[in-house]
Amino acid sequence: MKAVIDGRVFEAPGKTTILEAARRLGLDIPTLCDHPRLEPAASCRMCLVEISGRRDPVPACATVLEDGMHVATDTPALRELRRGVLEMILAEHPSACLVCADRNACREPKEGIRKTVEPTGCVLCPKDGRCRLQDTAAAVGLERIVFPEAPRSAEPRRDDPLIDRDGGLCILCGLCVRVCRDLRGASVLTFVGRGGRTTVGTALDLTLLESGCLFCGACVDVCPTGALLERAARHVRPDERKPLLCALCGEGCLLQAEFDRGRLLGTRPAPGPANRGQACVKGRFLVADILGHPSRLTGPLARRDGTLVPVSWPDALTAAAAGLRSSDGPFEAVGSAQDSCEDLWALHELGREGFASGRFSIAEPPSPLEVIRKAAGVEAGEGWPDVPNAGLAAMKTILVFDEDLPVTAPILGLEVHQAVQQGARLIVFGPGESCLDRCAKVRVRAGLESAAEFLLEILAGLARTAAGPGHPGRAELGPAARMKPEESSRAERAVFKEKASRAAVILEKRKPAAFIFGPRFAAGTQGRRNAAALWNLARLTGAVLIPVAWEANARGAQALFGGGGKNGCEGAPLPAAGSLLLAGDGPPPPCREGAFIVVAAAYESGALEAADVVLPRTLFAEQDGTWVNREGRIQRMRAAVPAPGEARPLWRMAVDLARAIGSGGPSASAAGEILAGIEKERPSFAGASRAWPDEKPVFLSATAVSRTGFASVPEAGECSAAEEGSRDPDDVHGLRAGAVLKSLRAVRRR
Amino acid sequence: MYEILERRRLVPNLHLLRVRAPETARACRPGQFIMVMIGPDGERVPLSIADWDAVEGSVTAVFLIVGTSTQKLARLRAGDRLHVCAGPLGKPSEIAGFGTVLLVAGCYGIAALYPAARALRQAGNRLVLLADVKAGHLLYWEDRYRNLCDRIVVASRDPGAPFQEFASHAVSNVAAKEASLGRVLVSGCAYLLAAVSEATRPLGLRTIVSLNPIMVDGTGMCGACRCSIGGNTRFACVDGPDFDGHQVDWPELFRRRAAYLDDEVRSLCRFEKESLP
Ligand SMILES: Cc1cc2nc3c(=O)[nH]c(=O)nc-3n(C[C@H](O)[C@H](O)[C@H](O)COP(=O)(O)OP(=O)(O)OC[C@H]3O[C@@H](n4cnc5c(N)ncnc54)[C@H](O)[C@@H]3O)c2cc1C
Ligand code: SF4
Ligand code: SF4
Ligand code: FES
Repeated sequence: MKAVIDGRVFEAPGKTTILEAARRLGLDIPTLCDHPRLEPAASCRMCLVEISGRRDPVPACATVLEDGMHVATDTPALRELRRGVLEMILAEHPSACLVCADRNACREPKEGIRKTVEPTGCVLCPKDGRCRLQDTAAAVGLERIVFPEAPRSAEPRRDDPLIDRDGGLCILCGLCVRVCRDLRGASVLTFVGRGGRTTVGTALDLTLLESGCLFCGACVDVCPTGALLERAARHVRPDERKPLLCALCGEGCLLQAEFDRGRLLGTRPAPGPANRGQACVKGRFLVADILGHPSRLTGPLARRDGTLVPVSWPDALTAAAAGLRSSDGPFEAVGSAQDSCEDLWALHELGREGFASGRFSIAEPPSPLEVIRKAAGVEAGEGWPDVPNAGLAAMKTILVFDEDLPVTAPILGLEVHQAVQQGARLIVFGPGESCLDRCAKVRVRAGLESAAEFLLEILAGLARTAAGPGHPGRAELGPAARMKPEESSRAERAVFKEKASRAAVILEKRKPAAFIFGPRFAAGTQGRRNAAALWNLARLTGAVLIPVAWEANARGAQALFGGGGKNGCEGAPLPAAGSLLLAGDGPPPPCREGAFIVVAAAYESGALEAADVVLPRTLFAEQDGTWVNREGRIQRMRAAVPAPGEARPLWRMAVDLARAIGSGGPSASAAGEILAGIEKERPSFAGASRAWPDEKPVFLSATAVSRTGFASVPEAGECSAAEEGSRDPDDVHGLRAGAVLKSLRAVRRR
Repeated sequence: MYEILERRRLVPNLHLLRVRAPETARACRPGQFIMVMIGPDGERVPLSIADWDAVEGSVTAVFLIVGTSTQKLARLRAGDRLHVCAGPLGKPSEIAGFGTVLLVAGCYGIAALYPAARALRQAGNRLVLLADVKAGHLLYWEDRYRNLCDRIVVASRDPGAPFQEFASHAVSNVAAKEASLGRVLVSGCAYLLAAVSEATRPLGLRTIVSLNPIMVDGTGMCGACRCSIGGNTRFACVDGPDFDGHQVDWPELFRRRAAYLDDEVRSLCRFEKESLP
């Protein structure tokens, strides 16, 4: 395909829009309603271009460039046309400042009144200087406006958490409506009213909260004007921006952190490889609140006469080393699947080499990935075929087990939604409500204790047809697919059976399929039964398995140590520990009466009560480190946010403790050295030191899973109900963010 | 405690506040201001007196939402009470027969100049109002002025308005059409005061501005409202707020008004986070 734009030749295989092609040639066509991840709407009409031989100009965003086309993007007629369109838009938007001769002189004296609630001009608007409408007016060369200003809306709405809405600034570009519906799958925003009263709102004029808003902030970020803005932060102007990797869940979103003289103001999504410009309520709005929470620990503490008192770092390390050295019984270091690879590795080395009888464990229960590996009998040390986000688009069937994806894996959630929009069939199993319910073809409302039953029901149906006598593993599948009579009523059973058979039909016809499951599905002994049944169904249908863990580095921890749960504690119970280094949040491992306990924590919490020494630790954005996201993507990030007080990275504490104890153990002066050590000892981390964003994307190198057979499903009687811990996906290193942050509490409808 | 009789949004961002303050109402003169405190630990907010009713015992002000205190004020309703409403404070405006007086008003200044307009009219002056609004729909109290003014000119971005520009550019045009212009009164944002003063300086028109530096006590004790007038230090709360606009050290005023910007922003962010959902 070859065409000419503004006299320049554009050549490329495949389909592109005129807008895309022009941009690739470095030509600047003004736009107000286009978005790289949304279908063009051609509603703003700013991108009109001329095509030779056609009478009327066409929108460049929605017109495909054809072979031999001659396009002009900047002619006097087009400029006049665009000015006219913009004037119409500005008739309904406060626009005095755009055409005022004094606009530059008055800006500085008016800095103090930019904190207004209802901007009536640019100098009063929080978006001043970062507004797409201003840029467009400048690009088009607007000097006057022939229509009087006729505002469209009543007072701004500030009755929701986090987001302020001012219909008076809305230009009806529709970007927010489209991003909310088409990308986030929430369909909260819509056009309301008619004619001159049209504005963006919610059905029935409810609040965003009442309308099922996820508070992902996608609408705020696409709004070209100040019509949708982040509360409070809107009043501050950043003077510096840095990349930051969010570690508040397993998605690993790249964010852009904004600072004002070194102070973190807030974050917004950046076009990272995992999140491609999207984030969730935590990454978009709450990183600064979480990192800067008043309960952060800023200095070491040591117990003196029964109470914890502030001490210096050297004193704290000396006290910790002395206590650890002199206590009887094994030493155990406990990390968290939220910790960076370097933190975990250093702790692990401290446990392994710093003490004769040392050991290391992870505070959280085994990750869903680990559970299904064990249930299926996949050898330790074997890789796992991770599914990258981009892979979801190819799925024809997606089965989700009780993961409220917008909460526990928001990016996966939106990829699922995209796949469904492209025709994938969605089957949702679980007791709770989810915004995915709306687009589910089959919705099974049942507790996860019957997940295995549901899967076995499908298996039984499919096994008859799909897994004929010659099917590999048929022998193992036979007994596993045998159904057990259930206690539930006959009517319930009938519904259950009917849904399972519908699911079976879909699974049989529409391939490939993806099965998504998380910690609740995999919890307890019941989880093993669920996992085995799911493994078998995946084997039978060729589906890919997508385990979703809640912690930022669950995938990394799993790759390093077969992560999760009490490592090495399987089988015979280990002797109770005589000393502990607790860096993970969760119930401490069994330890002796009077054991010496060092706690490395970020926040004040109950865990400190038992501590002999408390060491304040930094969190994700405050230290260099490597995290592996759900996709198996290895992501390195440099510290972006200043550490609170004297807090130090966990890996450094482990190094310092090893030195203070005077034994073996980790030694490094930078996180990178530890990562190099990991690379040497763990082949799956090959290339990690060069991992994005330093160079190119690096994934855990997966060896194919060699196990292809079916797993034996434990009898229902062998399983106890899932031991549901008090864990919450919003926990951050001991901070119950979903409970203590007012806005998150509201967003989670608590 | 001072009861709020009315609190109402006039146009976007500008709110009217009518408070029962009988003693203040009895003593008010044009150009003076009140100091209100919302709660016992809130800050003191100076507001120009826009009207009063000695019979009802009420004082009216119009305020622009620009920060924490004004956001708080805008959420009060009739029946709520202010902790303090002190006044009248400051020297009254000079009222005499000047011939023709040009009133240049923007933002809250449209209301703030109303008492002076009324008195000047009674004193037999011809009045011209040059209202600076960003767009026609943001003009308020036009009805009140129509009874007092011989001419009303609206500077706004709208077509049909004679000046699609800031009022300071319109001043010379308006002045050129007025034969016996004896005085210009300006009230509104600090930038308007400065810009109009600069516009009238070459015309030799005596220009009185209602100065709005940051004030704390409003009774001449704290020095917060210090400003330089013709090289002399003046306290706007007791020596003003009316001053000769050609004598004001504007850069200093702007600097002092912006001195606490960081704290204001921080306070506002905290307030919005705490007080909104
Ligand atoms: C004599 C006088 C009369 C005034 N009349 C009116 C009026 O009629 N209507 C109206 O809306 N505003 C009036 N103002 C300005 C008004 O007092 C401020 O806008 C208000 O105090 C801002 O408080 P805030 O907490 O909402 O905003 P803040 O965030 O505290 O401040 C916003 C900006 O207002 C200015 N300011 C802050 N505190 C004061 C203060 N105590 N005194 C003066 N300026 C301050 C500063 O420049 C600041 O940058 C008047 C000021 C003075 C001195
Ligand atoms: S925050 Fe997200 S879910 Fe809520 S309205 Fe905006 S785009 Fe939709
Ligand atoms: S989806 Fe996860 S990684 Fe992304 S912003 Fe939200 S919490 Fe952070
Ligand atoms: S306000 Fe304190 S001296 Fe004027």
